[in-house]
Amino acid sequence: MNPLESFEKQLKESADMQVDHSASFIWEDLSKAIKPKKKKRRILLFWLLFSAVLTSGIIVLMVSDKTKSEQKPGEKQVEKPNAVIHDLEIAQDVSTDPKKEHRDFTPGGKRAINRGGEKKDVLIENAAVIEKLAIKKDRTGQNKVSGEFKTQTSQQSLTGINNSRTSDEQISNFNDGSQTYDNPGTEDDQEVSELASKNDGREVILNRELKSLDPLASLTITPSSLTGGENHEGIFSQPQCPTFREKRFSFFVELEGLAGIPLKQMNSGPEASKLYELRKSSEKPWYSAGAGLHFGMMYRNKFSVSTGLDWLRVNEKFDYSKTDIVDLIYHVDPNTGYVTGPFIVTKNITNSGQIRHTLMDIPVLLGYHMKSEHWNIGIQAGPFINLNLTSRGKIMTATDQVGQIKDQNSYKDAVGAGLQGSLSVSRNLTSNLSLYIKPSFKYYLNDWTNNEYPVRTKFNNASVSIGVRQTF
Amino acid sequence: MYPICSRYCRTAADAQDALLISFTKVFHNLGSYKAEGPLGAWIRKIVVRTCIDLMRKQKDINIIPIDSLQFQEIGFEYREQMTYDEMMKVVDQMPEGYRLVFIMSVIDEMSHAEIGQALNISESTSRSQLMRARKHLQSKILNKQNRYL
Repeated sequence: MNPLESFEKQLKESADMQVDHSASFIWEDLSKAIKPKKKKRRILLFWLLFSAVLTSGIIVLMVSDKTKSEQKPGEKQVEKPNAVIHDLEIAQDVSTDPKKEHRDFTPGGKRAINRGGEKKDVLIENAAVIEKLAIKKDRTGQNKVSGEFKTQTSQQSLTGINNSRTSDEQISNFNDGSQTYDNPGTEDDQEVSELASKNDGREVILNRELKSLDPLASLTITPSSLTGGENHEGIFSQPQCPTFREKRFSFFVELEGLAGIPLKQMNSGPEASKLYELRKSSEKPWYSAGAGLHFGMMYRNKFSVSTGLDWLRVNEKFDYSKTDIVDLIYHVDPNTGYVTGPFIVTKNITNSGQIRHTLMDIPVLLGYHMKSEHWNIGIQAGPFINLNLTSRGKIMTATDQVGQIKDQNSYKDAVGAGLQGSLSVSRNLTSNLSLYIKPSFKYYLNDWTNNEYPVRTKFNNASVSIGVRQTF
Repeated sequence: MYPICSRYCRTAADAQDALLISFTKVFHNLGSYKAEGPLGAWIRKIVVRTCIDLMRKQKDINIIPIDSLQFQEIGFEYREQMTYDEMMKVVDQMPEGYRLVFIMSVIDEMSHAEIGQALNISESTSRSQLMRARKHLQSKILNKQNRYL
């Protein structure tokens, strides 16, 4: 070992012997007596529990909603009854008016013509073509049509029907031939429609203007005349549109990033005016950035409540300069050992860096939204709780020195409550996914510095967030 | 903790002041002690930083290593059984910048990052100062030459 290493080793051992003469049990007892701060695991535990409860609640609600209705709105298919008319027999007791004729509504189809009580078959050659059955009012006052009918529904048929429908037309759909219903246009309309609506969704569309119809009287279609066949007179029935029940509750998740401007407030009493001036001149707010994850519930696509986790970083610039520092220098002549001086040297010091404040908040926000087809506008407001504040960087001390924030016991570990509000504008990308932009303002109620620290400091934050919202 | 103060401060009075201020800070910041390390090491760190702050405040001089100055070369006869006071006298005669870095690194075993933070210098400056301090000390270990101030 060379002399220098030996010297250092010897010096270290001697110095250690100087320092710690106390028995080790004294340090142990001191450590036990000082109870260090418990790590804030409780808040993390609370947050995990809250997330678990909310997630399980969402899952339960989603599963129960799905079991209630198997079909989604819009996917319902209205089953149209098939009415088949075979060999319509025109009752011979029909009194006819030779002047009035039956109108043919379908191209290529056979016509049902009433000529003085003549029986005519009414058949349709083309099954895709829908013919209307003109039911004439019986001059005796009885309008009876019974039978089993098949109908075909199609958009084309709908159009065809609508185009060709006149006041004389009647489109009926009747139940099984064993029953007889009065024709529409009478006071029995209501009864007919009620009866028809009871029968497996078969529908009755009634035209009330029967009076002007052809005197072809009641067409009595007996069940015995019904035979199978390819060509049936289709009776068109207008489909009944399903009712779309609006979802009352829906859930959403938002993920966003933000950038903003921190707004700093500082004040102090007269006793700390020097420190206040030092800090004010050396610290300048720079920018803020953050991210947020929220999940919430929407009621009737208008009202919302949400919570989540926000992370925010507030950056400041630290810039300290001091001029005219006096340095006293003594010069020793190596040859003679004569000491000359002191020589006064003036110097300048510049010290710069960044100050970073990191915050974790839990917001609870209530919102109101207005939705259109593609765009949504909403406002949200509510309180938030700050879980943690971590401040790092340089800070001026009362003795005009540059120190570290963590050594000065200046900033708190948690700030407490605050209020925030925002206005969001979003664009629907798909039915469940939307992109939003959200200017917001965050106001912290309490100071960020400890109560004992003489200069009170606080930040508020104005920012713009951009994020995506997924709705379930 | 007084020996720590005495090796940083030039006079006994300064060392006593530093000790008093250090323990005031210890009691004031006791709530922030997080038990991540031994209590003694935590107090020691506060004492060292307090001593350095006090020295700066008193002299109003920024601690900048003065490399270009010429100091009288003081030699000493290295013996294997030197006392603590004799060794500290040798260390005290080094330039201020060398002395502080040497004490903090060799005796208090602080890392260059910690030294840089305490003295407001960079890590590389701290390393270079320690190297120069050792060089300076090396040149002072004279087996035969005896020149005293």
